[in-house]
Amino acid sequence: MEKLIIEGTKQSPYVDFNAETGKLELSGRSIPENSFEFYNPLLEWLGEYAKSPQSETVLKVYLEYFNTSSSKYILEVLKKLKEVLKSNGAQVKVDWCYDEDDEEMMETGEDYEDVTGLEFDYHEIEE
Amino acid sequence: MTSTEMAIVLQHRGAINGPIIAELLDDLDFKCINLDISDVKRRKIFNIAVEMFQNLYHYTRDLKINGYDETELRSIFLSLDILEDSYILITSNHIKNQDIDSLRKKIDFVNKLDVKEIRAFYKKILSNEEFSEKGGAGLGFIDMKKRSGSPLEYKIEKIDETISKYTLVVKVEK
Repeated sequence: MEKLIIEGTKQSPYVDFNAETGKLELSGRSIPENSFEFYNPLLEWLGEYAKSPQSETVLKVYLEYFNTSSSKYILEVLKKLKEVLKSNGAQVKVDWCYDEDDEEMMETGEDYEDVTGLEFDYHEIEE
Repeated sequence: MTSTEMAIVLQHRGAINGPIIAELLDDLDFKCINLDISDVKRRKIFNIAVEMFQNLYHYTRDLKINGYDETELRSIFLSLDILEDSYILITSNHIKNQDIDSLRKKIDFVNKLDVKEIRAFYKKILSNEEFSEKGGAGLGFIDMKKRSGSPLEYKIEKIDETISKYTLVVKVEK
């Protein structure tokens, strides 16, 4: 399966989804005016990946800012990861990273953990 | 009433889009850094401004009314007033009178919720799969109130039978 790499811009995040290692990353800013357009290819890729995932999948999310229209699609990304769990013995973890003192971003992670039931690890990144 | 110590004003004539919003946000952030606003408050201001711009974008992008100048109709304004004890974000734009009722309902509803309720409601809306007709997630006002911690204030002034001027005010305690 092809890697999915998208360079980050001032409006959209950097994406690096690697099916061979099971390491997925979403980082930067996510404030596109059309979130569907940006996130749909990610969801399609994940749908495909979920069919034969690695035994361990780790999604690193390190977003500086994201708008509420992205927040729904980030939830969709997490839901796709839940599909990965349906594979025999597959494990999924979310590494939720946020800048030092950014409590709001940490809380947002907790909300996602609560809504999805996925395993989250929190990492406060020193600036 | 505390007097304004300083104000940052961002204005754009004509329709805004993603790249213009990104530029205006960078401009705002840069000015906040220059004014030595703490990282925590600067992030809060930026996040609220992101939602305010998204709001402006959704209300103005398709605004087209016979007999009105489109550039004028779609122009937007955002300011950050720095007061002694707080930061005040203000946006203003035009809206159609027919959209006033639903707008009022949304803001008034969000304002009634306390901190705990707002987080619970945020999670509820986040996990329901419907998107509002404007393409937004219906989360904008909830997010602004959650981050601000103060009620959202707004003013709607009728210009004529078709359009009004809509001003939204969001406060961040220092």
